[in-house]
Amino acid sequence: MKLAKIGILMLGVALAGCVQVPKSKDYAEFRSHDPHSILVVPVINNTTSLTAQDYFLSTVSAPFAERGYYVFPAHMVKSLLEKEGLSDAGLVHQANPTRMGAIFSCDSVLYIEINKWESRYVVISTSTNVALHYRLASCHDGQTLWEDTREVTYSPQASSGGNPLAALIAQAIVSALEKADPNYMPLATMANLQAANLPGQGLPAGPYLPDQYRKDQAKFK
Amino acid sequence: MKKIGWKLAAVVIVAATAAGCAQQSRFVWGNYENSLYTYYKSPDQRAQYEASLVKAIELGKKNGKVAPGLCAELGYLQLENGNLLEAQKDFAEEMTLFPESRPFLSGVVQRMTADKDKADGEKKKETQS
Repeated sequence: MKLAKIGILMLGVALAGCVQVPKSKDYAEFRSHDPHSILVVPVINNTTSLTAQDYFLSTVSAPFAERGYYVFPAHMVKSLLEKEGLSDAGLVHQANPTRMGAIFSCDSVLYIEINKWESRYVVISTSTNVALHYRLASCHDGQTLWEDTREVTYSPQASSGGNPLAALIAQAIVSALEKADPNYMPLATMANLQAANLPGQGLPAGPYLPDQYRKDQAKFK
Repeated sequence: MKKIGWKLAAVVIVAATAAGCAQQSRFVWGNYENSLYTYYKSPDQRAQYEASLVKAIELGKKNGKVAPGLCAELGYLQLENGNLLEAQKDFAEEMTLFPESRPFLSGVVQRMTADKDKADGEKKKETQS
């Protein structure tokens, strides 16, 4: 588990290195609000996958907390909102962020929408695709502090042992397995890691990373 | 002896390089993500979610890297279990580690003790009448 996680992390970092870096975002609003805590609210699911939002929620806390922020307990928050009659993610997203601030005393709310969550079976290879939109808003005045869009694709590759026919069969088997039970979690984690970490795109370091907090202007202007 | 020394040095160098490559994580999460995912997938898997929280918190305490939210998540499960004292202890721990959670969690604790007092009061009335 730990190895797999490190693997994903390293892959994420390696990929981040390859991605052509778009224009750096403007962090003036973010810096002036200086949020210390993030409330992750239930995710809006714009796809046909019925369970995507629940599964996805388990992958959000760690990548964002690791940037140095207090992230509220995701499952407890979800359950309490349901008890308050706010089980509908659409309602939560529409409500003013200051309302969440009144309940949880959080500095900011992270709204995530899932726009793609699918596996495509193309001849002998399956590609799995996840697309997400992130928005962080202030609970004090409702201002949007940060926004991001991520799309991550994964095609499992069977190792070819030199025999082309064996490789083809192996590939078909791997594809069939992936098609039967696509594992979106590593992809979701990778998307979250990229969203939170990419220099000029992600979140500046928060107060729980004291050696970087307020010292990373070179990476996040 | 000399030979073994070289081998040891090689192993140390490899290990050090590998350690340098892996990004050091700020907090200990243990199996939190996977176990919560499993719990969402099959609600009868609640016990393993609870166990993984306990384990991650225990590991995190050893080097002062308990992850944000974990003590509160565990406290919430204890609250659902009806173990109010345990829940209160876990929430207190979260508030000490992460003061950002204090306004929210102290409200939860207040409500939970008020509910309990009310329930106890009603019980008393029932036994009296």
